[in-house]
Amino acid sequence: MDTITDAVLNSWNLDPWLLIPALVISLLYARGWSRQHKRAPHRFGFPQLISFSAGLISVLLALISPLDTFAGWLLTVHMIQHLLLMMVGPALILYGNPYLPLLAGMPRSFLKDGVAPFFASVTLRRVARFVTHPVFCWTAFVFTTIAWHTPPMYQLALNSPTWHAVEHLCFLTTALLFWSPIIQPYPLVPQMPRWSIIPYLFFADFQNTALSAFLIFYERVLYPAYETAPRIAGMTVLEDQAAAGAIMWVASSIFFLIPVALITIEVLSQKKTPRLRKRVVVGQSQLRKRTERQAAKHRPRRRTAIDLLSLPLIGSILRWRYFRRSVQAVMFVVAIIVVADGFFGPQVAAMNLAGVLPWTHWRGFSVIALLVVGNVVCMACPFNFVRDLGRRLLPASWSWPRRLRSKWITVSLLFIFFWAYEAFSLWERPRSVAWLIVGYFAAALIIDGLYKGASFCKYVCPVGQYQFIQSLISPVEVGVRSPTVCNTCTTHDCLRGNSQQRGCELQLFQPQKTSNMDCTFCLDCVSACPHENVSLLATLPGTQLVKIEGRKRSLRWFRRFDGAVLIFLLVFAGFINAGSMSESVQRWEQALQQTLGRSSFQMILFVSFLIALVAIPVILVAASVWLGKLFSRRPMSWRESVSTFAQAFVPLGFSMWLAHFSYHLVNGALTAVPVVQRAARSAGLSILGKPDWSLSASMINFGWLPSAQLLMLGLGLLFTLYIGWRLASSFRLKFAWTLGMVAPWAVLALVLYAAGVWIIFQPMQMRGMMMDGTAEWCVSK
Amino acid sequence: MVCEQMKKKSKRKSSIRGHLFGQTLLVVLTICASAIMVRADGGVVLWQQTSGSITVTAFATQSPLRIGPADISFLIENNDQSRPILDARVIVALEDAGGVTADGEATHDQARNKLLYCSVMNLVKPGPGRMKVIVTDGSEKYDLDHKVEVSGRQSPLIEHWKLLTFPFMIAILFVFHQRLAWMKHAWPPG
Repeated sequence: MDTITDAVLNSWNLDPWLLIPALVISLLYARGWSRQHKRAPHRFGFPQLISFSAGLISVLLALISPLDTFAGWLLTVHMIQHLLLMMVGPALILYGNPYLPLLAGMPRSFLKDGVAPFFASVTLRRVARFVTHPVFCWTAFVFTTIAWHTPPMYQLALNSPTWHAVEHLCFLTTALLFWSPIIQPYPLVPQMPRWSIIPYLFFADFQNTALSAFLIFYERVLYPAYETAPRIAGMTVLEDQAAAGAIMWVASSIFFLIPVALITIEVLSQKKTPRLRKRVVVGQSQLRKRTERQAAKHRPRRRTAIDLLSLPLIGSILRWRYFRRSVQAVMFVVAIIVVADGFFGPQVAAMNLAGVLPWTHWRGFSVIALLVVGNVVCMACPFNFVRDLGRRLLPASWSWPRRLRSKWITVSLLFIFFWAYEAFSLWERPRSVAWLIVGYFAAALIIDGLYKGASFCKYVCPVGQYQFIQSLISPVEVGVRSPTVCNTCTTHDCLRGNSQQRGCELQLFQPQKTSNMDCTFCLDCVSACPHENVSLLATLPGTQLVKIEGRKRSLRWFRRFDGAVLIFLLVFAGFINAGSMSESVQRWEQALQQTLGRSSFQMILFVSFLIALVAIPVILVAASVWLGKLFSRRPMSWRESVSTFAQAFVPLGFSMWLAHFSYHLVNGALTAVPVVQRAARSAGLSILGKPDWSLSASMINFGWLPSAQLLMLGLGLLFTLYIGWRLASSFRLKFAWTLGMVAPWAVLALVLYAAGVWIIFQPMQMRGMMMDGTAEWCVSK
Repeated sequence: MVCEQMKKKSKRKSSIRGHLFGQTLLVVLTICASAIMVRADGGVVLWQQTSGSITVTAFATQSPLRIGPADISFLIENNDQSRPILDARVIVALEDAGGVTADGEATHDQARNKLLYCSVMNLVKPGPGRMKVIVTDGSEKYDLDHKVEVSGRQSPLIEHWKLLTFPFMIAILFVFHQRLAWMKHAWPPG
């Protein structure tokens, strides 16, 4: 093959934004078609399946093949692309009777709760009837064709990929509308007599002929963009324009006139009975639907969770007796090495394990693990070794004071940590980090050495509380396989334990457990359950938050005020922690430090943190409570309101933490390499080679990162709004009042979202990296 | 017995389906991943210049060029044969008064349109400058030089408008959906 032809044929645009929707649509159709085929093979036969697939392929060919690549160079190619989008693709898709298979292919719950309200709406049905009326379809098609072929609009599409996509979308949608009255895909009801399609097509062809003739016979170049385009086909611009007109004329006319002939034959040979028969068929299908609906009510609901412990390889690894201990041992060794390097290594953050691993890697991986798996950090927590040691050395017999059985200690510790992190620049002081870890070890040893159960994890550990709250997003949860087995259980080993295995140290009773809150993924309950009914269940991320909107007794944790305060603290801290690394905030901090001196600066920063993490959240939350009460006209105590709506903010807070930590992880992933090499050399191991410090100083320019961060934040906002809406709906008020109740919280979420967007667009300080003064800020943003 | 066999059969069927689904997903993801790596599609013509027996047309995804990553591609045509040259070596450099600001080799691998040579360059400074292109076609070497203007960065809000507006679009659609669901049930659904 000629090299040029070869190059042309290899110029595909495999855009995932086109391929993924096409794949989803084809899967939905295939799933729905297989169901419909069993019920009505005459309507959903193999010709329909083939036709739909061919139509979808035609549309894809138009958009991803070399046709799209060279459409900007040759009008002829562009015209062929438009023919595929307007004539071939839509007609074939509609012949596949796509409506019912696409609907039947959707998950039942999504169809019922998500799509059905749109179909049930009288107004929308009227709109749909209007939009599918042949007069509207014809007008929309003709208007779109003419409008996009005018030189200014065509130039706009050629010069901007976004407008080009809009042009294609207009062509495809109006073409689908245009071909609807002609093909009449089932179950679309004809709105005009069949004979009226003949003039419908004739007039469309007339418009097409006029436009084509104009292109062929116009003696000047209509679209100037083609004048500057390379002439690769050996045609002049005018020849190309005329050829494009000829293709449009001939090919489109064929597409218009063949249906004219077929419909004429159909009209001439039509009998009057089909209409009556159709009505009977519709009646039968309605009856069948009603019967199916009634049967579906009595059908038991299928469990959607995946049982990870019964999976072939993963299950055996997770069930291995020493699995958790092994992971903890690895983490313990890493923690000891980090502490040693923090104390005795160089006191430069980017050169020390204590300056790089905890802040760049551990935080980044832990937040990603929360999204992909669950609370892996608690599962692999290295402090468990010293907790167990404490239990052996000390009595471990006291009960944790009743007054302290809340989250207030962790709220205070977290506040102090967030302030200290900025005030003492913890990230750039490896020795302080080492002391922090040692302090953590000591606290775990003393508390769990003196008190029963996992008091340290449940009431003190700030990292644990952070993990508990964020793991409400996680897809994996420790839960029961079958609730009926638990109903017959009398020993409750998962909670109390037995002679071989201790029960849950955090006092979580599996049948009543509804989320990952307070769960350390220790899997003690899994081993303790004699019925093997406790497992690791995986569902979609965020499912736990959707569950907690109920008002059951078992969900009372989510009505606790201290829990709500903890959630709000972590949400606001997520934004403040990321914002403090932005250029403007850092410059303000540096100026303040130079003016006031270090000790006064720390006090001022403490006051600033009080304002940012306490005063402002209190004002914003109080305003939301007051306005919510005002708009919803429902008497509700402010504590109840705060406790109810706090959980809705978990996704937004999580998305900010994720956007922030993943940014550092992606940019600073390689910083670990030279630091590990340096630490190994310090320990006398030279096998890892000489440290390459350029890896700590270079930042790879990931152009997609801000987009990914915005996507995370946007999804977090959407999920927050959704949970907020479900919580407000649980009060069962009128629609407007429910909207009024949730609106102030939605505004608060939008304020936080706007702050997050601002932070994402700011140049960030690259902590834990060796940046010189000028390159310190990530200017690539 | 029959029941067990049927169960086994349906299990096998579902595992085959799952396997097929997994395979398809893998193929699509691989294609998507390779598509993400491949950049540039020509776009707008920046300039066109003839040197000796070749004509070079420079394209960019946007004109004028803006600060940030930019896809710059080149079509090298042989004037005598009126056909694109596909085996040349193309080096491109952007210069301003202070010297070279960005440089690199343009290759077919980075281009979607395989007739083009593409280079992804990170433009850091705004203002007027020159784009210097060195084309080596066999033993022939051509130096081309053209004025270019690099504008300031586009507002990030405009640059990311799709990602910024999608939550609002979905939220509005959701409220509308809920309104309809409320009307249907005359009570909060779910």
